[in-house]
Formats: sequence, C-alpha cells, structure tokens
Amino acid sequence: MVDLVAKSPHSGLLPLSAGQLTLTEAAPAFVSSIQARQGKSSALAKALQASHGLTLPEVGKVTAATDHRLLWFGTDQYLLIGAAPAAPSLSEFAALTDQGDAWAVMHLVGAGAAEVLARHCPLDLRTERFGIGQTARAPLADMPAIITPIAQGFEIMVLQSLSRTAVHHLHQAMLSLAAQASLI
Amino acid sequence: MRIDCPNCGSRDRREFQYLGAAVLMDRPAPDAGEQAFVEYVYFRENPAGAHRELWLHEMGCRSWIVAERNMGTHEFASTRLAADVKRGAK
Repeated sequence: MVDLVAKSPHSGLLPLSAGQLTLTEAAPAFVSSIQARQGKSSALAKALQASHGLTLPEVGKVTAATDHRLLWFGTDQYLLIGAAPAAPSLSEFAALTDQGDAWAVMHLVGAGAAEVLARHCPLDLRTERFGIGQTARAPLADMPAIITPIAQGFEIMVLQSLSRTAVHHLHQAMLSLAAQASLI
Repeated sequence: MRIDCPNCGSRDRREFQYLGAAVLMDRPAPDAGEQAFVEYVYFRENPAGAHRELWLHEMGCRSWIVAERNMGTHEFASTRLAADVKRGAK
C-alpha cells in the first residue's frame, strides 16, 4: 500500500508576513455543518447544550467553549469547529455534514488587519460594528468566505480549492499596506 | 446599490443574484391544467413601478429573499426571507 502524505490546504503557501501583519494557517481538526431539521431548532439547541455545552448562536454570532465553537452559517444552519459533532444525539434533530475537507482557515493578525481585509471584503470591519463574538459570510475578492473577528485580527475561511487565490490577494494587500506604512 | 438581507443587514448588490418575479413561488397544483402552467412558466408582468421578485444572497447567508423593488427607481420597499413568506402563507 502506498503511504500517502496528508497535506494541509495551505502547505507551501503559509505562513506569510509583511510589516506588522502575519497570515498563518489554522487547521481545525473538525469542521461540520449542522442544519436543523424543519421545526427542530429548539430540540437541537437542547441537544447541543447537553453534548457540547454550546448554545445556538443568533444570526451573525458565534458561541464558544474552550476548544470548540459554533458559528451561525445561515438560516437554521451552523458550523461546528474544533470538535466532532455528537452524531447520534444531534442527528435526530439536524443534518450533519463533515466539511473538514471543504474549508481552508487562515488567521490574519496584526495592526492594520482590517485595512488589508477591506481591500477585498465589503463588510463594515470596524471593531464597534464587527467585533469578537460576531461572524459573517461575505465575499473575499470574488470568493465566498466566512469572516470572524479574533484577537487583533480576523479568521478567514475560504473553500480549499480557492485557498491559493485567497492567499495571493491577501498577501498582495499586506505588501501594499506595509509599503505604504514604510513611506510615512 | 444596497440590499437589506433580513439576516445579514445592508449588503452590496454584488453579493446577490437575481432570479426573477416572485410568482415563481406560487407553483400551480399538478392538476391545474396546461394554461396555468404556461402562465406560470412564461408570462411575466413588466410593471413600471413596484415589483415582487426573488433574490439569492449567494455570497452571504445563501437565503432566498422576496424583495419589493421599484422597477423605475430601483428603490427597495421591503425584503423578507422567502422561507418566512412561504410559511406565513400556509
């Protein structure tokens, strides 16, 4: 049997840095979508509380435990990151889909992270409007992305097939802003 | 042009995809007859004023939205989740 080498979505691409900014790969062990079955949202909320200690996030919000998080992902749809979903107890109320091989996750951190992201994402990224505890699905350049504020920056998720393009766009913006800053 | 997504708030029009008139949601019963289906599939109003239509928040929350837009001014009078409209109608 050939022993295949597992590669992460950003292997060979990240980490990158420019000025005070770093772009690093975050490879969560599990990413799963949880789509509540029709009319089962409140039952799902109870099951999630029991199995993962998480409440269902409101629209555009994140709920977090120590090592796993739940992102609002759409109407009655959530993304569980960092832990495998407790299948038997949740699947009664929700459709569970493993998305671990779908999303590539990066962290853009440092002073000016919002300015870099603003080059490619039309969200209002000011901390008072979009801070920790919130999340949004929004375009990154021409790619659908999930943007979540983290300490001193943003977690950016794009589809794995688009990871090279996303890194290219973000790195160009990082270099451009670092070059501007060096002139001041 | 900005569109108010009932989930995500005010977002750029480029995040959305237009499908067409919201009459698409009112599919005739299977036994409604040929004429009803011809009208459902092919016949559309083209008003110079308010128009109910379907938009998909494709680059955002991926919800279908029923919007009322003025065809003359592009002003949006209202936006609602299509799922809510459908369930409310039942």
